[in-house]
Amino acid sequence: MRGRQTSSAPSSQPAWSWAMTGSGPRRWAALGGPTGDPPQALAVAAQHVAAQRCFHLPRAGSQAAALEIFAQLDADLRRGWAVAGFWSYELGAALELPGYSVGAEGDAEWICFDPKHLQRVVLPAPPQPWQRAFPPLPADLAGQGPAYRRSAAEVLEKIRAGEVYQVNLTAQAALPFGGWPDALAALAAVQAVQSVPYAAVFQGARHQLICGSMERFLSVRGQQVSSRPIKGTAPRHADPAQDAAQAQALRQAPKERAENTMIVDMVRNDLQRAAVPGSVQVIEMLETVGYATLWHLESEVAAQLAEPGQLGSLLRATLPPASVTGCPKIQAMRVIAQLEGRRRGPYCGALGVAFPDGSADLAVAIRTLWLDGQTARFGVGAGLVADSEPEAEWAETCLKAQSPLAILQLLRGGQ
Amino acid sequence: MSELPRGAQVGEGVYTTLLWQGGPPATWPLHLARLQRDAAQVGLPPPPLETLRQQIDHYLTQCPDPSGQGEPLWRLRIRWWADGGNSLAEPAVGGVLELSARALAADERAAGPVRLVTAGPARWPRRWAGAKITSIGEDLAWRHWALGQGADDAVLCDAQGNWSETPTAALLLGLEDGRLATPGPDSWPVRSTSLQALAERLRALGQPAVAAVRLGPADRAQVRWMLLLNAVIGARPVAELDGARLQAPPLALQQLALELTQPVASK
Repeated sequence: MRGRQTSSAPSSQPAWSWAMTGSGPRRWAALGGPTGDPPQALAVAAQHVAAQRCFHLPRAGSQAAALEIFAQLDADLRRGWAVAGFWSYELGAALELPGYSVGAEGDAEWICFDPKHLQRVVLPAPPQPWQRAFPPLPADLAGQGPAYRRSAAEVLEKIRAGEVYQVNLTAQAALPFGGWPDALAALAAVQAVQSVPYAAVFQGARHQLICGSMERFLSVRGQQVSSRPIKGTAPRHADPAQDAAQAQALRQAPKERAENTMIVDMVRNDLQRAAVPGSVQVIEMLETVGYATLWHLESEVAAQLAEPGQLGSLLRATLPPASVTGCPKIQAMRVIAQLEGRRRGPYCGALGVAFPDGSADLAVAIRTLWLDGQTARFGVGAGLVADSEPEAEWAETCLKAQSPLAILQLLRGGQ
Repeated sequence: MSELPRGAQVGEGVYTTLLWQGGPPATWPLHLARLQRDAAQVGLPPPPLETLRQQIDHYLTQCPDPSGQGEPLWRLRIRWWADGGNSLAEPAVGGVLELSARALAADERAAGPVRLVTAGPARWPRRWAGAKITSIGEDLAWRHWALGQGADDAVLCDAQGNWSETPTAALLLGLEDGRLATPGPDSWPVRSTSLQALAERLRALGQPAVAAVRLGPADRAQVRWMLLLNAVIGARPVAELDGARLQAPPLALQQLALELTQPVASK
């Protein structure tokens, strides 16, 4: 059951294999992959790190500050540097909801390097074989069930009142986790749990991000940009017949299809803001894709960029990713701010790499852990539409916690 | 002294108005398509769409930045006028492209509820019905009349009293049975890009379709709420029609309209 299954391959697989060496005891600053056999990633030696950027949005004037951050990103790429890093949910929210963002944890961080210094590194074996037994839900997350169900009920009230059509409601877990895992080992652990196209590790100034995302936020090649939103989830089953039935039921479930269809429409709208008029196309719709822990419905939207090579402008038009907000996007973000009441931080933002030739691969930072040396945090959530049921949405949220918990379990065993 | 273009005097001109902030909103292709279609309807040559975007970018970079923030939100108007002599006996020749922009006032977008009174008849079958032509003086005169009545704007009606639109905004109505409606083409409203974009979004979201219907005073009891739509205001709820109160429109609809008409700041 391990690995990625799909009835037809996505139209374009990301060239997602990159690594950065950091300085000091944290040897690796960022890496992505792995690819090949043995698994390997691309790396850059520490002496070739040209610059590191770390931004915190102010409480006041956060919109202007966010635009400055995007301008700096484009300036770095124009200098001929490649960049790898993350751009938080709050960075996007600051653009649309001025004054909402609080810059306590870092809203954007990236490192700059000359892409010619990329080199291949071979990943180690996972710290220990994963037994494919999912750890129990931690008390911190399990205890949030009642509050989540109450918030979900409030969202449904708002949907019935015509305030919003869909809201992606999330919860966050915080677990004790001392120290910093070796980045290569962390990446190997991510891929040991489930093969995902956007496995990555990023070592920021205060946090280490370990990303097990399967969701493409933006992939840019030349003038072409694509996004592959995920909405619609079902658990896997050990019995192949029942597993196939789960996938079939997911494909046909009106609620799951509605969730995905709404988000595809939002992605169309977001990309259109940066695209050549009339160039936005839905390439794939409601594809059922299987991962080790769950089935997802995925769609793909593509467009021709009006201003190729301007990643900052593209992020300005699209961040935060549609699938982690709701519909209408800005109104959903207001509801999220009201009901969740805390920062999402890197979770639900963008994480990835961009190159001076204009190409870029950014994941939606879901199934992503962020570690501060003492605590490991991760977020999980579900999209709520008119016919959602709070209990079922909470169950889906808990299902999504399996992969970050399994990664942590592997990393604990390997320490 | 230069003579006014023929279109400015005789009325052979089409236009569109939208917001611009480093670039256009997502509805930009709809504005271009409407300019093209309206020009053909009026008998004008096709507007130079392939160069329009570059001309706008060039033009706006020459304008002083009233916001001081480096990325002003412009209210941009694009006119495409007939050129040539001013006698209708002579055919119109070529076209004159005119761009005008001003910074958007703070209270123009997502403003509060508005009070309307019905006015007219101001809509009737005519040669250029449905096209967004530049001769809107009579429509604006009805707005002045409405202000004199203590309202904020006028709902223009046809000879039978059926609602059509306001001088500068389309109407979207919520009916008692849950349907969404807009005055149909037989009430002669201008083709609205904002309404078209919103209807398309709603369809994509699996929401009810927007029905084009004939609605007037006799249907007043069916109408629960009313929303004004255009590319500058986005959406504005109607609080009163002819002194009778209406319910507040769904917030999600208003937000969708705002998102659709909002350009993206690019720098």
